[in-house]
Amino acid sequence: MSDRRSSSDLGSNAEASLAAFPFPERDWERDARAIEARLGSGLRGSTDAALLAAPLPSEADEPSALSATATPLTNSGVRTQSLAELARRSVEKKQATERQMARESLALAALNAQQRPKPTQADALPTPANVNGVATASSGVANHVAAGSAVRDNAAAVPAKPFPKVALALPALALAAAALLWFRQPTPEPAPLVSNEPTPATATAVAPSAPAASAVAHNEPTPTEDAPRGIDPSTLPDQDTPGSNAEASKAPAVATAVAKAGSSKPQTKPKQAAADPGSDLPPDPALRPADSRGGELPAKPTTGAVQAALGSVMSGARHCVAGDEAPSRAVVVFGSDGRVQQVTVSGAAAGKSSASCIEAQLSRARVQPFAASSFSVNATVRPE
Amino acid sequence: MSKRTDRELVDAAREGDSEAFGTLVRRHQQRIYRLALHLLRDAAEAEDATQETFVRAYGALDRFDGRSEAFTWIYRIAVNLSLNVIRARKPNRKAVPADDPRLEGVLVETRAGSASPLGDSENRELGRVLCEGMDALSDTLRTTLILVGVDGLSHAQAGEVLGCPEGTVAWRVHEARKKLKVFLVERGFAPQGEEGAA
Repeated sequence: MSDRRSSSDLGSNAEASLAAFPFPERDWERDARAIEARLGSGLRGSTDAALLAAPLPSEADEPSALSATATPLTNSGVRTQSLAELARRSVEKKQATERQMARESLALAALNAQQRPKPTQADALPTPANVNGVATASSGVANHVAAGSAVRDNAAAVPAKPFPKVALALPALALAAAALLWFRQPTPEPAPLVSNEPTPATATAVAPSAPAASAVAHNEPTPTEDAPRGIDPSTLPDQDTPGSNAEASKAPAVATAVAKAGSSKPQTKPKQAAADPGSDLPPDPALRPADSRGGELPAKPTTGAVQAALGSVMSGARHCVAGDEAPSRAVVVFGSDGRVQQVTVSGAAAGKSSASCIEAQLSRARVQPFAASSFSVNATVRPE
Repeated sequence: MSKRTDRELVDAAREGDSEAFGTLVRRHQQRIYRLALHLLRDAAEAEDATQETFVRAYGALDRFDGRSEAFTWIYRIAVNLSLNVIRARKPNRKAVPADDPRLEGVLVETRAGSASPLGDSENRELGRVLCEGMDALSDTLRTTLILVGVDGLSHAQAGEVLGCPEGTVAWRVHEARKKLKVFLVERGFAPQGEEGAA
């Protein structure tokens, strides 16, 4: 940091000159009066929106992702991941891994339990475990539902082992019970490390968990009569991301349907649910962010909207005054429905047939509906 | 009666209180003028830009959404207007005029504050080189440096004016100062303690 500072230190004299750069005195009161003399009600709403936009382009070698927060900078000025983001991702990854392990243990226990009853009864139940069982029986090589699942690999390997089934089932049940007990304990919420506001980095860190939830739900055994007694898989905690309840209710159904169809894309609906940004907005419009879809009409149309509306019909209006020497003026009155209520033409075209032509052309302008009863704007129609 | 905040003045001006807007003008016109003067390097253009800034701000009062400070919002208009003037200039207008209005202030200030003619001369020379160094910067770096280094805005406020994150403002200020330092050293104004190293 001191290197960064010293490399740009201008020296005390230059620093003092820069910080206290004087400027010639003026008659400020006279200047202020001159400004006030120019102010008038007609000015309101006349300022071009471009003047309110961010003014300057980026420098050619400017790092593009410099954050407003206290994100550390490397010497090259490129933004690195913050410790908070790393910690949050680490916690999420650990929790997801542990849940996955618990579910796999449960699935294994359920599979062992299913191998005891009659095969005909098991065929009638389209649980993922049964699907695996069928796959094992038909092909000998597991997995036609989703590749790479350790559950299925284990499931395929189980029948080949020479151990008695009871001996295998007991440790599995014990493991599953331990996992259940672990999840019943209140998990401490990870403390907000920097801010509770969702940052883009956090969003990307959370986003992968939605497919992960679907994938877990895919492997999740549906509660059946053959499930191990005392362990209800539905009591397992699901993902703790917002909207997980809705996803959790959909996931088993999706998993079942996929198991039936043999498809490997079960996460369509949860993705759609997670993609709806308005679903978790507070119901009270006053509590919503300013830029959210509040649904209220603007008090009046924006200057940009009015300019765009008039611009789209102005060429037609100019045709009307083609050949005139002087420009014509028109007062266009928009009604609250966004349509033109009245056009009054003055100037060169006033009293001529071109006035009605201008009126007809400008009447085609449309803006979005607004709350005020009407809104008038002056337009100048210059000859082509 | 307590002094009204900028936000209150803007709200009052929106309701048609022209006196409130006049107060806002008197409160910020000097800083806006100084900003315009440094950006434009022309007293007449700076005066016009200052006047135009407040007229345009008045015209856009209904669009001030209150998410930023009123004065940073006005600053943004001033920067945009000044940049428009610069872009509209003829290409040969880049040279600094001999009677740089920024140096008039330096001269007046040093005469009042210094007893040594030599000190005056050095200060004026330093001011001139500083101005030249700033003029050699890109518009982006120069504007950011003026906002932060000359006008004393915080990085957050400058970020509001320029519509960029604080980190970007910090990077620009650092880059601008680095380049300015090289410019000063090349002209014999090395920082104290570095004269021998240069």
